[in-house]
Parts: sequence; C-alpha cells; structure tokens
Amino acid sequence: MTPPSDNVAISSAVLGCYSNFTFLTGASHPSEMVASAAALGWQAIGIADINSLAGIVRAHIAARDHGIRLVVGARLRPVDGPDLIAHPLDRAGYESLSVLLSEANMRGSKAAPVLYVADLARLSTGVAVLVMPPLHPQLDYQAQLGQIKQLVKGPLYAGAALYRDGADEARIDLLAEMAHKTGLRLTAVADALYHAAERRPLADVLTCIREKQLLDRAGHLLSRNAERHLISPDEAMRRWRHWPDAMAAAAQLASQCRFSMADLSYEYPNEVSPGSRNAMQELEYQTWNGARDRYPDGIPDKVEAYLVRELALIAKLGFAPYFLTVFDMVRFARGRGILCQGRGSAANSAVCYCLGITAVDPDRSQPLFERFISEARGEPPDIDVDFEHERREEVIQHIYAKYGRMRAGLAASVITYRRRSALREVAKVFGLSRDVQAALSGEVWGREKQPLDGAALQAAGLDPADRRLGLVMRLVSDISRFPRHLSQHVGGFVITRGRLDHLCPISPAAMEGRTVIEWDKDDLDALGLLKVDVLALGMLSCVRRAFDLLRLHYNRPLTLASVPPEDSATYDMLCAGRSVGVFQVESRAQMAMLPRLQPRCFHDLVVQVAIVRPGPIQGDMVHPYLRRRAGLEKVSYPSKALRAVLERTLGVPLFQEQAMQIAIVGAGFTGNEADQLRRAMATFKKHGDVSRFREKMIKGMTARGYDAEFALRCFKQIEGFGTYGFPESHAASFALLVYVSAWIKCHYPDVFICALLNAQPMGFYAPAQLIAEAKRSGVKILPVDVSYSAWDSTLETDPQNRRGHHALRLGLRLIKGLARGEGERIAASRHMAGQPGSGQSPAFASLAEIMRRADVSANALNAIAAADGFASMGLDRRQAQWQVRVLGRQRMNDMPLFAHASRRHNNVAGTEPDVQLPQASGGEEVAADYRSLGLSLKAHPVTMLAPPLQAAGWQSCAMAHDVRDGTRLRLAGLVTMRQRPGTASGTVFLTLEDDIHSLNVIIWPKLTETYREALLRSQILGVVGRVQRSQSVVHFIAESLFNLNGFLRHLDEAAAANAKGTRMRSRDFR
Amino acid sequence: MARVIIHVWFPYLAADRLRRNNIVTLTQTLVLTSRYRGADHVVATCPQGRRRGLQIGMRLADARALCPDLISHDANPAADAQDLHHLALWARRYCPLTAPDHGTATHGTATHGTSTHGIAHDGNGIWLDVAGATHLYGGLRTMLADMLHRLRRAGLRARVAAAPTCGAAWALARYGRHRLSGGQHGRILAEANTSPRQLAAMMAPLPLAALRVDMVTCSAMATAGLRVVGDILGMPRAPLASRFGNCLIERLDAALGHINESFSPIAPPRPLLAIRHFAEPVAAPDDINRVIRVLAEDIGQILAENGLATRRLRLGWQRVDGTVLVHDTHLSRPSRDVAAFHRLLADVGATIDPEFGLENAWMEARFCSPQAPVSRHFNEGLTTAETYASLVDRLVARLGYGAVLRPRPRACWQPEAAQYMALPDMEDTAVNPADGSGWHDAGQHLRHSTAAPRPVRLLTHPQPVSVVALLPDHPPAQFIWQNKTHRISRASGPERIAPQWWTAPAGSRTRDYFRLQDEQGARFWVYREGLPERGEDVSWFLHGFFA
Repeated sequence: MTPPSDNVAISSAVLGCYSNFTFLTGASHPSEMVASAAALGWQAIGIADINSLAGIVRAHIAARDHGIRLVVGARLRPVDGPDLIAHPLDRAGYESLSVLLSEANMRGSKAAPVLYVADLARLSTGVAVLVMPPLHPQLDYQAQLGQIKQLVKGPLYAGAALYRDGADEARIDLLAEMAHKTGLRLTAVADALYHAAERRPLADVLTCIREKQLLDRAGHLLSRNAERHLISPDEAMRRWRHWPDAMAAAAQLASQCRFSMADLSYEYPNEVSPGSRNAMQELEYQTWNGARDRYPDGIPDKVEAYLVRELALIAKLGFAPYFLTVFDMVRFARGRGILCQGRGSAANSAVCYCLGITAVDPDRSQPLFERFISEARGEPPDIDVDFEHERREEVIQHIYAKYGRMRAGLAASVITYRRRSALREVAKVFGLSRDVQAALSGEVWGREKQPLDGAALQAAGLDPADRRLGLVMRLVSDISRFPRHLSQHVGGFVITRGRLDHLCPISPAAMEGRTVIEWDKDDLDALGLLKVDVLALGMLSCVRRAFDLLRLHYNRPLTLASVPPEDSATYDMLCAGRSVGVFQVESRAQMAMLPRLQPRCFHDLVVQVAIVRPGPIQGDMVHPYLRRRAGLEKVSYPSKALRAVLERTLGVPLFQEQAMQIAIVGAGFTGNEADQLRRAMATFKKHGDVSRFREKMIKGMTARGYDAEFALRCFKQIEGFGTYGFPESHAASFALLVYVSAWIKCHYPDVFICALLNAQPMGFYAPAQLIAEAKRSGVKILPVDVSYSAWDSTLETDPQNRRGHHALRLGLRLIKGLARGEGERIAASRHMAGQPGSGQSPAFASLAEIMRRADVSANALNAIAAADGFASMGLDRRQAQWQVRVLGRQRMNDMPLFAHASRRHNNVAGTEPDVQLPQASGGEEVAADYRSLGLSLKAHPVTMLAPPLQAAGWQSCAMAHDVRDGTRLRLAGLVTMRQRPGTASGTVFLTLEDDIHSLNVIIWPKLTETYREALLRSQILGVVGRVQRSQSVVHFIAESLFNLNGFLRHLDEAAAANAKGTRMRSRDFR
Repeated sequence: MARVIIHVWFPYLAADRLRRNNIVTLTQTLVLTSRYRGADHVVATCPQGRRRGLQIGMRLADARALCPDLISHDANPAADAQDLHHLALWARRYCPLTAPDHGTATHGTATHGTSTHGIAHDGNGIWLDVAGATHLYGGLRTMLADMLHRLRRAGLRARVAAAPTCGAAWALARYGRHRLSGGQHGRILAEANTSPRQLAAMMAPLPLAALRVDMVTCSAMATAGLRVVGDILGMPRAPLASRFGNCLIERLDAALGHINESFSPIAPPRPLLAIRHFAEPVAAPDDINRVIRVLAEDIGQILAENGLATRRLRLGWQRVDGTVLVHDTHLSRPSRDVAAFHRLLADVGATIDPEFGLENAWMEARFCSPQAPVSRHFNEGLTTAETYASLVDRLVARLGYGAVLRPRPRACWQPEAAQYMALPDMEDTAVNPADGSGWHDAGQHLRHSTAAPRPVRLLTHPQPVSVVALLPDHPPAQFIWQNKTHRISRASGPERIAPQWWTAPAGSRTRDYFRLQDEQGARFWVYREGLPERGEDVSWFLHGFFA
C-alpha cells in the first residue's frame, strides 16, 4: 500500500486523535492509532498531541507503513481559551508551528508550556486551525470563535465531537449555530483517546495517575463510557447523518494539509569547509594529510586502496560534512589534550583512522566500513565519540559555542514505563497497600525479567484469583512501554544549518543555555537527520591520567596509537586472567573467559570483548567457539557462501554484523530487510517486533539447505543482540582500550593503579581491591597523610623497588567526607609554606595551623583524623580526633552567644587537663580505617580475625586455590561484592576476600531463600561448599552460608555492640 | 525522704497498639516507617522483626530484603504520644506524680558534627515518682509486679526500673540486664538506700546512650574510645564539656544524683460533668424539667469555660433505691447551646419514671471538640446549615438515633449508585474530588444546559418495558409499560453509561439512556441494556420520571 498521493483529494479523515505522547491522557501508541485508522478504512488520520510534536515521527512511520495519509498536527492548549488543533499545510506552516511550540516551551517549561490565544497570530498562512469546543459550550464560546477568526491567517474550522453523553444533539446543534453565525464550517472531530474500546480502563487509570486520585474516588473524572475510540468511516457518517457537512469539512481540511514529515529535508551545517574548498575537497585534503601523519614512512598500499574506495563512497553519498563535523570535534579535543575515540558503524574505517577519530590501525585489521555505509540505505553514517568523562563538558561547550543553541540541540530520550514503575503507579490507583505493591513488584529481588503470572503472584503470597490483582496485572502490561516523559539523551547532538526550531519544537534543557529537541534517536534516524553522539567514558580519563604520569615520572610520552602493539608480556598477563582494573575484561565473567580464550593478538581481544555478551551467550555461540579455538572441534562452515562471513570467527557468528550477513547470505534477506531486522534488534526492548522476522529467517535458511537448529541459534543470537548489540567495529574500538590499559597495567602497575584510583568511581572494583592488586604487583603503598598526600593519589620514588616502580601515595580523595576544595587547599597551603613533603620536618606544626593556613573547617580535619592522616605530625587517630573536636567547638565559641557558655566552664584550650584516652586495639584501627577509607594498609580484617575464625573451624579463602577439584571446605572471608546478573536467573555471585586472595562464590537460587539473612547482611561470611576448578579458574559452590558478623566484635568490641557497628562496604547488586 | 523514680519503657509501643487493634497478628513481622530524605525508613518494629535482624533506622527496602513478608505501616507519632499520655494517666493509680516521656528523638542520622550535642533520645516511656506511695501496694517490688502484670494483660510489652534518679531509672529500664519476673523486664535499685557510689557502679557498664545523649554524640565519643558510662566517670569534666557539650555532664550528674532532675507531672483532665444532689427526692415532672434546665446551664457553662462544644450529652439519674438511669443524646454538629440542650432533653425528661423519687442527677458532655466562644442572640442570623442542623437534632431527639438519615451525593455515573443515605452527623465522606464537593456541586455538572439531566424520581428497581425502536441507537418510537402504550413524540439521547469496569460483576452490560416524552406530555427515562453492535441481546427498562 502507498499513502494517497499528495494531489488526490481525501474523502474521509479522522481528526483530533490523541496519542500516548500526550502523557497520561492518550491511551494508545501513535502506531496503534494509525494502524487502527488504516484498518478501519480511513484515508487520513490527524494525530495531535497537546502542545507537542513528540509522537509525530512514530505516527509518520506507521502511516507510511500502513498506507494512510498522516495529517501532521499539534493540539494547542492556550491558558485563556479553547483547545486548537493546528495542522500545517506546507513546510513554512510547519516551521511556524514548531517555532510557536518552542516559544511556548521557553516561556513555561517542557512539562508545562505556556500558550495564549493571541499567539495564533504568529502562525503563518500555511497552518489550518481547528477550534475544539469545551465539553459544555457557553455563550461566550461564540465570542471566542470570533476572536480566533480575527487572529488566524490560514484556514479556520469549528470542530465538534460526539461523546454519547446524552447531550450530543443539543451540543452539536448549538455549535453548528455558533459556527454558522461566525461564518465557519462545522467539522467532525473524533477526539479519540484510544484506538479501541478495550483501552478505556487504561485511559481511566491514566486519568487517576494524572490527577493523583484513587480509582474508587475519582468519580466523574473518569469516563462514563468507552466511546472515545476510533470508529469506521461508515459508522461515523451514520452518526453524523444530521450534519453531513461536518464530515466533508474534515475531509477537506485533510486534503488541504499536504505537508508530510518526509518533506523535512536535512541540511548539514556549512561551517565544516573553510575557504574555497567544498566539503568533499576538504575531507579529502584532511584525510590525506592525516594519512601522511599516521604513516610517516609512507602510506601502505592496502590502506591507500581503502582510502580511495571509502572516499569515493562518501563522495557519492554526500556524507563529507558529517565526517568533517565529527573531525572538528575530535580536532578540538585533541587541541585541548582531551583523549577521545570514535566507535560505531562508520568509525571502523581507514578515513576515520587518518582523521584521528579512531586509533584502530586499518593496516592491522580489516575495516568494515562498506558494510555499514551501504548505498542502498540513504541514511547517515553513525559515529559515536567517547571523550574523557571529566572533560566531555568542554567539548559540549565547544559545540554550543560554534553553532549556538539555536542550531545545536540534544536529542530527547523517551522515558517509558517499566514494569516496576507501571506497577507502582497502577497499584497506587487501585489503592493496594504498600506491602502488596512491594510483593508485586518483587522489590526485594528485582524480578524485572520474569513474567508476572499466577505462579509469580502465588510466590509473592498473593491470591492469583483476585479480580483486582488480575486487572492490575493486565493494565500494567498495557501501560508498560508507554512514554512517561521526555528526558535528554546523554550526548546525542543534532546540528543544523538553519534554525533548529524550524525542524522540531525545542525546549530549554536542565542546564542553562542548552536546548533539547522533542525527538529521540530512533525518530532522528527515521527522518535521516544527522546526529553525533558525544559520550563520556571513564576509562579514557584513566588512560589520560596514566599517560600524564608516564610522561612525568618515566619520561615516556605515549598516545593511544603509539602504545607498543602486540606486546607478548601484556598478553601473558591477560591469559593468566590477571585483569583487575583493565577496561571491559575485568568483570567476573570476562576474567573467567580470559584463560580459556588465551588471547594472543589484537583480533583475539576483539573477540574477547564481543563474546562475553548476552547475544553470543543466549545464542549459545561461546562454547563452540572455544572448542574450535582450542582445536577440540573441527572448524567447519555451514556453506561456502557463509565461509566468507564467518571465517574470521572460526565459523561461529559472534558479531552483530555477522548475524545480519547470515540473514542476507544465508536466508536471502534483501539489504533493506536486513536493515529492518537490525532496527528491530536495536529497538527490540521497546517494540518487540523481532519475532516477525523469525519465521522468515528460519524458513529462508532451511530452504537454502542450512540446519534448522543452526538457523534457530542464529536467530536467538540476533534476539540477544537486541538487548546488547555489539558490532565488530564497537568491539574493535573497545579492544584497543583493553589493550592499552592492559599494557600500562603490565608494565607500569604503579601508574595504572594510581590513575585508576584518581578516576574513581569507575569500573568494577573498589579502591581496596585495586590497592591489593597493586601490592600483588610489588608496588609499595604509602598511607594517606596530611603532610604528603595531594588530593589525587601520587607516585613517589621508591629506591627499594626491584623493578624500578614508584611507590603509590594514597590521595586525600579517598577520605570519606572530605570535600574536594578543602583537600586541595590543604595540599596547596603545604606547598606555599615551602615545605614539600621532605619527610624531615612535618609540613604543619599543629592542627590549628592547618585550619588557619588552608582555611578549612574542623569537619575536614575530623575527616582526615578519622582516616589516621596526621601520623606524620605524631598524632594517632584518637588523639587527632580528640584535638579536632575541641577546635571545632572553639570556632563556634568565637561567636558571642557561645562565648558565654564556654567561659562558664572556663575551658580555654591549652590549659585543659590531660586526658588519658583508651588505647585503640589493632582491630579497632583496621575497623576505623575501613570506615573512613574503605581499606586499611595496616592489616586485612580477616587477618585480624584469623585466630578466632580458625578456632571456630573456619579456613581462609586462600585454601580454595590450593586444593583439588571437588574438595569440601569451610571458608570465611570478607564479602566485597554481591551480584545477581539478569542472565543468571537468580543465581547470586559473591566475592569473598582475605588479605591476599579473593574467591568467587556461586550461590544457586534455591539457597538464596534459605540463607537470605546471611547472604544479605554478612560482612564476614562463612561458606560451606565445594571447590570447582576448570583449567586455572576456581569457583566455590556454596552449600550453606553463615553470617559471621559476630566475629567482628573481636575487631572492635564496643563498635560491634553499637547499633551501627562496623560497616565493611561491599558493592552490592549494582 | 529519698526519691524513688520508676521508668517504664514500652519498646514496642506502636507494634503493640496495632496488635491490640487487631490490625496485625502476633505472628506477623511488623515495621513502622516514616519518610526521610525521599525513602521510607524503619522507625519501630516488633520482637519478631528484631529477632530477624530488622533495625531502627534502616531503609524499608533493606528491611524487605531481609523479611519479604513484613507488614509495614506509617508511623503515627501523634498516636504514640497519645498512648503515652493515656498510660501516664493510667499510672496515676500508683502515685499522683506521673508523666509521659515523649523523648526528643531526632529523625534519621544527622551528619557528623553538624548537629549540636543535646538531649536527643527516643521516648516511648512514662515516669512515676512513687516516693511515699509504695507502701500502698505493699512495697516497691509488689507495685512493680502489679504494674507489669496489668500492662501485660493489656497487651503491652514493657521494661521497668526504679532508681533514686530519673536518669538512672531511664538508663536501667532500657539497658539494664536483670529479670524481675514472668518474662517482663524490671529492675529495682531504690529499695535499699542506694548510695551515689553504688549508683555509679550500676551505671558504669551501660553504654553512653543510656545518658540520653544523641547518636551523634555517642558515635563521636566512640571514636575517642569512650563507649560506656564507666569510661567517662573518672575523667576530668572540662575537656569532656568542651568537646561534647555541657549537656553530657549535666546528664551524668543528674543520673548519679549530683544534681536534681525532675519531670513535670501531668494534670488529670477534668470531667465535663455537672451534678446536682437533691435535699429531697425529686419526682414531679416539672421539677425534673427544671433539673434538666439547671444541668444544661451548668454543662453549658463548663463547656464555655473550656472552649469546647459537644456532640453527645449523657443525662443520668439515680433513684432512691440506687438504680441508675442513663440517656444519651446525639447532636448533629458540635454545640454548647444551652437552650438547644434543654429543648432536646426536655422530651427525655417526660419519659423518666422516677418511681419513689430521684436522689441526684448529672449531665456529662462527651465527644467534645474545641469551639471558639461566640456571643449571639439565639436564633438570630442562623445560617441555613445551622437551622437545618437544629431541625435534624430535633428529629433525632424525637425519632431516635439511626432513624434519621439524609441523602448524600456520590460522584458516580451509575444512576442508582449516585447517592447514598448517611447518618445525619456523619462527616461528608463522599466529598467529590471531581468537582469540589457536596450535593450542589455534583448536580452542577449534570444540570448544565448541554449536559444530560437526571430524572426527579428514580425507580429503585428499573421496570422492564417492551419497546419499538430502530437499532442500533435510535430512540424508541413507543413503549408499553404496565399494559399502557406510550407513543413517543419527542426523544433525545442516547447517553451511554458503561459499567464500572473494575467493580462490575462479569456480564454487566452497557446501557443507552433516552429521555422520552409521550403524546400526553409525560416524560420518562428509559434505557436499553446491551449493545446491538456487539451482537448482545437487548432489553429495555424504565428507570425514572422527569417532571
């Protein structure tokens, strides 16, 4: 079906439909509305959401797919008059509407735009306006019609709708008379809130959510019937039989509105090419320039061939301005010394390498450029650029400075109802108690992924037969995936040549001077608009810090591209699974995979990054690959055609684009269909229409002689990619960071850990584990000290280190409760005094001097005292805290009111009697270190507890590494992490730690209920279970768990008795 | 005379209340929560909760992780305070000086160092100063046993301690480890003349929190290694005071008896009661009537003095033979109008059978609420609502409570559910959120010129009629009701009313209402049940008449 062509007059049009982008009012997706209108036989549908065009792109796509004309529009809701539906007739009209909505957003806010009837005068002649009467029109409505008629330049219609509320006839007769007197045509409007009558309950529930009202008390707020749905043209004609012209007027309006969203043509900004060169010439110039820099010894033939081919393709498709826009940002970042790296479909190209957008050398890998910029698809290429997370802001500032907020804006991100939020709201409307809500939403264990059916209700202790609960569950499934509000995308920028608000309504962002548009990235893709993702990546900050440290302490300047490639020591380290802190491969699953995969070259790292992902795991591709790699299974290909696709990964599809290629080569998809499949994959979570490709793919593959089981596996993998797509180009960019971070860790563990500590919070491990890792590498760790520590952790020369590594001085930033400004002032005032931490004389003579010189509060000193940071001044933790406390009170006493109180007790500092404080035990010191720093250099708590634990029959975690597979042990240790991955169906992974080793404990779901208390509350946990070894990977399978927190009293007797007790924080369920 | 202070602590006051009110059962795990910084936090729990590891101050979500089956309720500090107040009143059975201990619990945890050190502690206790009263119960020990016994019978778990100072009693009730009897915790220190030295020895092992200092101070002291009272007993006072405030020192001194601390005992409420004793038994109706007027004036006076108004009057008589007659009168709104009281009770007076005469009479005002004093001439400038109220009161006095009901509107599309009958003095629970409240507003919406009106009379049971009408949605051309054919001359509609989807029983059908006028000019409200376009069977009913 094709939409009726623009010139054909429309004979039937259903106007004034809401979609659920009128949040908490419309009860159908735009696509449902459109599809339903098309199925009923309408020729055109007018979707108009209140003061917004946010849903219009989705409606446009649906209209295109269903062969129905979409009458683009928005329902204006002025504060001083009736609703007005504005339908642009042409592009100019659309622009004036978009500008008007933008101004309303600027005046009010995104959530509450402010419009006045007088604003209608600013719409151009190219906007048709349909006035919507109030439910009970009064006499003043006619006056309003007259006023609006004066203001509107374009065609004007008087709308009317049938509600079956018993007053339709009286109302329409009245409205017809008013319209006639004003000289307007009465126009039939559907005013539909939902596409089908079954959505009435949902509309009522949305009303209650909006009005914050219980269903039982909402009364007349709710609808009296289910009539606000779409009806067929014939039925509409019948109902409007007394006023037949109203239907004709609607059709005429629709015929007039020739504007389609497809008419919005995008123009690239023209700043990209300075001087006389046009964009393509500029791109070629920059590319060849860059190539000469990248390959000073001459451009390899292979690369030159790539460049020529890629440039030709770019020229043909006219994407040069896009590449130049990205190049401009990257050049800016490089100029400021900000590390960045591109990824995304178009990033993996020789052009991007030469432009400095990526650092993956095409000479050493195979670029995949053409697969992504196919000629068949007229859509722009996709490059995401990661910047250092702390400095991305500078790049964003640059973009705004260069293009201005009227031309650059952030894409929106549509926040939709998830099951949990939907459940909370719906349950509230039904008046369910908080406890039932909690039981339903499975708040405790987060059962987001499991279906909520009768069995789940029973498990939650609820009656599955309960009618209300049944209704709640049904409504929750209806409402989930409904848009809830628009938020801003993390970094997706849209940059235009002309004004942005001619393209789409814009609204002010949360941050001053920023702009957000109303469409999200899928909408932008669908319209073919340029978007550049400016993203933040913590590891880049860490790598930049490491490069800085290398230059400073080892005189070794490096960049991402100049790190020595293919270093075997680095691969040795990775093969041994020693990847704590290394980008991407530091997670438990990745760590377990490394020794099995044995990466020996860059491509292996690319595979490593891609393989531990839900896609390959769900598609069950991991084990075949490992077997083939280990030589246990013959490498074979399903067919000769697929050999070309799968050769790089030993015949097992691991990357997203391989899945697509299989669909094309194996199942006979056209390029366009494969593209649709890719789209469905990307938005699988939101729409779930992947499954319609399932049959086609499996049928296509079996018809071509492939194994049905193989086809199913391929398809499953595609579904898995829906949740986390990882194309090879992404994996390659990430793999480079894996390699770089691993290289630094391998050769300069001091630098690496120092940079990681300063880039916290990031990654998988807490400072305690990172420092333990540094110790294992032989790096000396020096404690936080007010005389030596800067805000960041620093490196100090360590003459005793055999490998020539520096010692790592922990920074003040590790101290809990110390503000950055105060910490930095302390470090700075130390230098001002001309006493760098020489170790001879303390930098400060007294606490009072620090307070005075660094101008810090007593709280700051107290935080440092709690971290035992005054040791160089001869003060232990308790003495320091005791002194700080009186300093704090004295400052308060400087105020007259308190001065009196202090005189009464006559306690001037200095004259106070000596106080003998109880000496802290070793255990107390460790516990206090953990409270303040989250780690202790003095001892590990488990070491301190070893004697009593051993006396009670508990062994150290280290045991597990020294015994045979299957040995049964009783182990105890500190819990440092608890995890319940979504893919593991309820299994809990937990890390136990002692002073040297950490151990992965696996707790099967059936145990989690029995030992819930121990599992959740233990800091010191005892586990009885069995060792499981495969190759060099050791796991411990729990059989029973014991909460050994009681042993903490051996550390810190009184604190354990205290309600709060000692808290050794673990990273739980993140 | 040495002081003897008893402190009774109710560790599960709120939980016990909910259990006594049958809101939760003994076997359920209960927490009370309060919202703090955007999250619900546990502020009280029950013994099961404690056993299962729930702690005060933890987040509700964490508590649920530990006990998925727990029941949570919002904390109600007002109810707690009221319970304590009542308990303090009850405790006056033991001695005249009692007071509730509401505590000054700060919510959540103040950030380190920002809070001033002061008297923040949790309450949930009562004080009794029983010096000189113990012998009435045969000694302190039996008094405490009696107290615990009675509290237990009332379903309240309590820990008690007696000591020579308020501070020590408070500390020992909460932190002392000594069992008195029968599973209830109690501690007696004051029987022998406890010396300050002995007192100090008893306090020494208790944690510093026992001095009624807040958590911030406690944890600050813990960082200095000071954890129990004994740690600071021997320390110089000045450094302590300069770091942790004078309050700490004052608490310590008060607990040890170095300085005197007392509580302000509560005053018992005065009953709102007027009594008249007669020199000679009264029997004549006129005399009875006069007594009622005098009592009404007395009670009116008492109410005016207290700034109160009443909704229930109780009139009592005692006959010479000792039998008692009691009569309750309801008022539809709080009042202290003497004339109205007299008017309402005069009828009662006529029904009294004095037999051999009445010895005395009393009148008690119950269910009182504050009312500002008004001076106004009777019946002058009464609002409609007030005259209406006085009419209702007289009807109620005549016909009896429960015999007078008034219709109230309910915002509901279903015509038969759009009103309900309520007791005259009931609060308007049917406030209509849709359009403000009340009768008039609810009607407003429907009386609108372009809105569908409602009939003046609605049949309780719609009556089936047979109808000739065009489907799907045309109004009837004629209908037959009670064997009489009505030919329709004018009609409007339909007004489609669908069942309330979340309450309607399965099979409920949508109705289309029509307003019909027959050739005689009579107007009817007729509906068709079932939607022909959905293929449902249709049936027609008459539901009401228009004027």
